[in-house]
Amino acid sequence: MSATALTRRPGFGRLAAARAPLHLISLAVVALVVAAALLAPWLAPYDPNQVDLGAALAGPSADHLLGVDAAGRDTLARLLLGARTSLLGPLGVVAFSTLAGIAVGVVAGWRGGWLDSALSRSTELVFAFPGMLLAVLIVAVSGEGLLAPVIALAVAYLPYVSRLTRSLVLAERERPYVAAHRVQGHSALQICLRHVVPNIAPVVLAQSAVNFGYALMDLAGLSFLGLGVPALTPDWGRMVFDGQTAIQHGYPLSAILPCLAIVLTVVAFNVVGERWADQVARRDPR
Amino acid sequence: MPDRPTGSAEPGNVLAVTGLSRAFGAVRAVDDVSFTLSAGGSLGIVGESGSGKTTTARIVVGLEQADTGEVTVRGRPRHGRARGRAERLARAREIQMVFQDPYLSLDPRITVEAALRETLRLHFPHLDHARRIAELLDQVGLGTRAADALPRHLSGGQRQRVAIARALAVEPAVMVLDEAVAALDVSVQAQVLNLLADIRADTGIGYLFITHDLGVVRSVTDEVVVMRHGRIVEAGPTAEVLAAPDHPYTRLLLESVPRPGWDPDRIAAARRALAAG
Repeated sequence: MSATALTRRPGFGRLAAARAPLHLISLAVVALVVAAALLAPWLAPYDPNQVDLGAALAGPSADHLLGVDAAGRDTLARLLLGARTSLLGPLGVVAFSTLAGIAVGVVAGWRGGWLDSALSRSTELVFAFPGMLLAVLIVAVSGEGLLAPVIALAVAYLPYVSRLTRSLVLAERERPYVAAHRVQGHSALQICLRHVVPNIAPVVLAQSAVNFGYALMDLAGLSFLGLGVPALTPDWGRMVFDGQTAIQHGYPLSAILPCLAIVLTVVAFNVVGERWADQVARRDPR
Repeated sequence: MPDRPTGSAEPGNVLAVTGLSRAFGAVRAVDDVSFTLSAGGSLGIVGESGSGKTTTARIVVGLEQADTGEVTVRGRPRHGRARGRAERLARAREIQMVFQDPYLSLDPRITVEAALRETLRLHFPHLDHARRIAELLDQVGLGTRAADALPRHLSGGQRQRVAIARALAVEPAVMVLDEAVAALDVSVQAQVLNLLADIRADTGIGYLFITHDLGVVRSVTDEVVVMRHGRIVEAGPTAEVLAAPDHPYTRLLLESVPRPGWDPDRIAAARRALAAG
């Protein structure tokens, strides 16, 4: 069934075949990034906006472990605190698109008929708009702030979740245990919430883990364009943007480090999500 | 012609089905089917796959809707889909069902105890659930150790016992058993059939046994109806029908059971003759 396969972007397919060491490394990267984001205020050696113009563009030293950017701000502190914004955004995208996507998918798959047609067609309509363009449009209208691009991307990612959920629900509702609970007198809502959704949740959550990586990349792209995240907030995409001029002056470190952080995190979430989906698929449910 | 039904109003009948029909496109899966089940009785519906027996069962329990005809339980007719919680619960207490495949009819994520508790909580919210669960497990011959097990840790026979316990938890008037032992080993089949006979003797629940297996019909039913192409071709007390079948199809079913001296070619010829006629 191709409909129940996870949706991935071109080029990411090869990661799906990840072997054990890569999976372990990816898990470690995910854990490290999450820990960094949670503990950032205690780990960061400086205030991320503290300017030391005398040390601007300095390389790594005992004072500044990862160097200083063109504005004289400590790169390590900005990377650590940037992890917060860079992860919080995708988290919001994934949380909203997963919840709403499951709700839409379950209703469409369970009820069927005209409601299914209406929901499926309207989510397919969202597919027609590139998510980034939608986000740019909404940010252009609403101005600065993380909320607007997060909501725009959540809407853009919703169809991936709802389409997967719908196809899973279509298969799940035909299983005899659903009929058994119906005969027992349980309401449709109760059967969906207590039995159908928990049984399909692992596959949907694996898709959401993969989506997390994509959303991170999209949000970093947006803040690189100067959209969304306010100018002084530390954010990886924004740091790449700020570091551009430094690269031209021959000091690439302050731009390359956040690039690395983005790439590593996206790949790590992809590998972990794919691996999770594989395990769920292979596990004998009986 | 089969005996006409004696009507739902007659006392002593827990389940009465009259003139049930259901078509899927051009196929008449169930065609003017009528039968009654006396209180505490056991009725078998026999037929080959495609004879409409499973569709009949699904209409009786309310998983499918009939095009025409009526199902009456304890004198109360059921019309259309259940509306509202009270009606849903009342119908569940009228008829429960045990499905063919115990591997699929239990939620794989839910332990035996949680499954029974969920049902008890719905139907008897004020009962002592722990005691009732122990009672039910004992009734179907499962130890209390099975309570914490997930379905995948149980054998097929044990799972079917759990499914039976779950149906019993509702305390229904009628239990529909749709090929309930077909997926089990022969020795386990016998155990479960014995268990079902004991439960009927203890509780007085009426059984509607859907099966293709004449051995099962012989051992657990009092009366039997034989279905072919959606219609009832023969009905009567099990012993009589099996000893002296009237309809050629019933004879064919009986002769199709493998035994010493069995001749498959002759059965095939008889089958062709029946299909032509």
